[in-house]
Amino acid sequence: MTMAKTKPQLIVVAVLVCLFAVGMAGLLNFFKYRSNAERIIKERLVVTGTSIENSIQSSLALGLQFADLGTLPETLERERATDDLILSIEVFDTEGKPLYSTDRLRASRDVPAAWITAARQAAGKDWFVKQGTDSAAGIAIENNFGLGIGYLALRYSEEQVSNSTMAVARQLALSAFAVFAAAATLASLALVAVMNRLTRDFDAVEAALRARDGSRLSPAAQKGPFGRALRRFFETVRHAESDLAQLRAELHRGAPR
Amino acid sequence: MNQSYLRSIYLRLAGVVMLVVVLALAASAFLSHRAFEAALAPEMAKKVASGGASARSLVLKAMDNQIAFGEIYGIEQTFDDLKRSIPDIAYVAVTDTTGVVLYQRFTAPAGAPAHFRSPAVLGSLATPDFWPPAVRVGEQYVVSMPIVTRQQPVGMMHIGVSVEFVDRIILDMLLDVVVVLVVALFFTLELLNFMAGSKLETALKSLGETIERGASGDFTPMRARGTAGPFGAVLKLLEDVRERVNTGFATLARDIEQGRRVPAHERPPGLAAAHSGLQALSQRFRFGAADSTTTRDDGQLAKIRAPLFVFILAEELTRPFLPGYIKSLLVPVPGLPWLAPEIVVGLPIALFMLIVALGQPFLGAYAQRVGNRHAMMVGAGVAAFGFVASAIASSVLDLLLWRSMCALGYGLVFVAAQGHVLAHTNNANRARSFALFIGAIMVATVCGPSIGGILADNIGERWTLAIAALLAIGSMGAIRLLPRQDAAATAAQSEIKPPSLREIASLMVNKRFMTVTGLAAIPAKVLLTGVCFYLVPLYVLSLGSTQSMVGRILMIYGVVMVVLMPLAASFATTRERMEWLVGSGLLLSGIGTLLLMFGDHVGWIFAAVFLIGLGQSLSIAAQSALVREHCDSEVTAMGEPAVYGVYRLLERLGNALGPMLAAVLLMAFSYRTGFVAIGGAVALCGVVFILATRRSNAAPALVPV
Repeated sequence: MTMAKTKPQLIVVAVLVCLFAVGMAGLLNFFKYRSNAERIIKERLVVTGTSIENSIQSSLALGLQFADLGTLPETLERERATDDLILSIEVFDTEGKPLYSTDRLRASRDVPAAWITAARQAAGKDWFVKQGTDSAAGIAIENNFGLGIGYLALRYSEEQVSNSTMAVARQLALSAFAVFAAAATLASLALVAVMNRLTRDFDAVEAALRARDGSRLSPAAQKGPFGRALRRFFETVRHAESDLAQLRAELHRGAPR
Repeated sequence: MNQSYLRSIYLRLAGVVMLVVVLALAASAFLSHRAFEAALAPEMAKKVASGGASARSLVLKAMDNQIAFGEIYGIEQTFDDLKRSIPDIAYVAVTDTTGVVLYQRFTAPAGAPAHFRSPAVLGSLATPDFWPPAVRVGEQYVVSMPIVTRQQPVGMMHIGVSVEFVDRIILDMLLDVVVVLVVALFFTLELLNFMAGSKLETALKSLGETIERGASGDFTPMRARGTAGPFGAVLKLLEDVRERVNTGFATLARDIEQGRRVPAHERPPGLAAAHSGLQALSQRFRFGAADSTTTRDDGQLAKIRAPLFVFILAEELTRPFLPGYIKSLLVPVPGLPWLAPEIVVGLPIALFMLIVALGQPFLGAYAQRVGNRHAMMVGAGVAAFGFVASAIASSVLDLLLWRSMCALGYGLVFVAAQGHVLAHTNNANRARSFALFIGAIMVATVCGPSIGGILADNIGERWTLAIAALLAIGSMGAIRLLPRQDAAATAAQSEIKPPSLREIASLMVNKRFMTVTGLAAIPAKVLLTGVCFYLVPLYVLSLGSTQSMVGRILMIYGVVMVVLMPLAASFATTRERMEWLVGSGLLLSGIGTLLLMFGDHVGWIFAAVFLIGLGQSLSIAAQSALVREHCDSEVTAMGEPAVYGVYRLLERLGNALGPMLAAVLLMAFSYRTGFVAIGGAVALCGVVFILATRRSNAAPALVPV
């Protein structure tokens, strides 16, 4: 049956549509997860940073110099230890000169230029830099008069964030693949079932045609799309053949045998 | 009957696919909810723990100041501060070492007291530097943090986060998922049409014709029909039946003829009766050889839909983010420091439209020379290059060049596809063929912006442009399936020539022509490109919304057009109706933008674009038909192609004018003033159009005969 050639094409349609829908949904899921995970992580770093900033503000309110906060290194170290994501916490002035750091190696060199740029662009708001091991969430530090005196940066492990994101991405991809496989199979079967119904209609017509008997059109074929026309078709054929038979009989009437 | 039957097959096939897709999307949402819950709950717990640590340090500070653990005054205010900094917090409590609640704020989850007294929680008092992961208690995730002084553990702080935060994330995606569903529906229909539709249609048509011929008594064999397609066996059997009867007739005729050739005394007595019966039979039925008439193959025509859809989809992907992307590439234009950013943002869009408008005659001539298929391949290739280059553009200046290439490719594909349709149609099926052409474009306008917005938000504008390039390249694969142009087709197409300057000038001073073109067609296009392509994307982003939202808004326009345009077209049967449709359509679309006067919420923009779509769907089909109605004498004098050529040219110039006009209004005033000014002007055009056409109907002298 040549209808069989249509079925693979319908299966391709089912597979492509399911691939598109589940693929798009999978992409949306992944991007939604990533944006939310990053948001939560950034907010978590900012919460920690705000806590340190409050501590700095308390000291400044007591009249201590920003560059001379004796208890700050201990506070920074304590806060860093509370979160394994944080690689180091650094406090630096508006020119990028480090003032305090939990990482001794970094305390002696200027902070990355990207941090200064992001901090200045943020104009007093929280800022974020995504740059490998130099990824950081930052907060502006202002004195009692509202003037910017420096910045606090929480350097975090972008790799750790990426690893956890990739783990979830793998999980989402696996579930998307499973859903896709199930949906594509189900859709293919459903399409083939619809086409089978159509095929049955035409098989009934075919059976009647092979039997050379239009009166044997099944109810399905009679109610089908060409039912009425088919009945007329067979009726006309029957009339024509009957007329031809009559004429032939007439012709042979009394003919020498 | 074939069409309605085919439609019912399509609906059944698309229906089952959609049902499965809905189930798949629901399953995907369920699984992603579980994955999000598992992955984000610990992250959220760490976040609230970070905030809780500072609240806990305040408790410890109070105890350092010799305040008893159960008598700390004002601790609830600290909890309020904590919630202000972390709004996700749903509950905060402090318990003693036995798990008895001493302080609490907000809504406790069901089962909290039992949880606080559980050995697992109390056991963590022994490890003050480590606290257990968040535990789901009732409808909250609860993080429990030990409070330990230098001497001893004194209690625990418990912070709860509502599990609904994951639900909210999933619900946030709901609109995007609905968009995916709508696009999947159109995608299914397009694929069904591409993969099986044209073959099914051709096969059903053959079957219907065969049955109809037999039923009406026509037993002449049909032209060679492929019996390899669907229903091939049935078709062959039907043809065999018809051939059997035809052969029976031929045999009888031959026998009678042979009988008549023998001497009279040898003739069978029934010969005369049989001969006259045969004559009568040949009057009632049709027998004999096949007719030699040929008809054009609809299958070749239908092949244009897939490549056109994919190619237009590539361009439509860029709609929601293009103005924002141009804005991000803004640089001062050398030598033109006075050129305002608003104008510069509008330039690539206007230039695109201008190239498409002015290039049509030249591109059409090129397509005629090299063939439609070849021209489409070249156009798609040029556009694909333009998309890739646009994706890596470094400033608005080079973007202008790359977008011009996209415009050139777009114009070429459009013209060549139009040529293909013309080459494979005749007067009888031209309207239906152009519906197929317009249908592909309209479906692309539904799918493109919505998906483009989602992609731009998630993978960025540059990658979305790269995907547009891939689509353009993909369309080349479908273009390859088109037939090479034959001589007859070229001849049919060459009848269409671009309008001359004299014809343009003559029509531009023609009052009846300009009533339709100047008062209706141009304003409608100015509104479309100025508002939908320029102001809406920029305004929605300026409100802090996303490019996905822009895509959804623009999708509304496409959906309204797809659904209502055919209905409006079927209603436009008389000149009066056409004029009312055009006038009221303009008025409605103009009023749509006036809605922005009531507020700056995204909902108003949705409503405005919906009304613009509604108005345009009413007027577009009637507008085009009215040109013929209003300019009958001009059509007789210059020919329909010339009159319609000028009409299309001016209409497309309106496309180019729209973004520039909107940019000037934005520069001088504001977004909302821009919307209102353009919409008000279009509504005014609608009123003037209605008045002008009423008056001309009242004065018969103006009505073309």
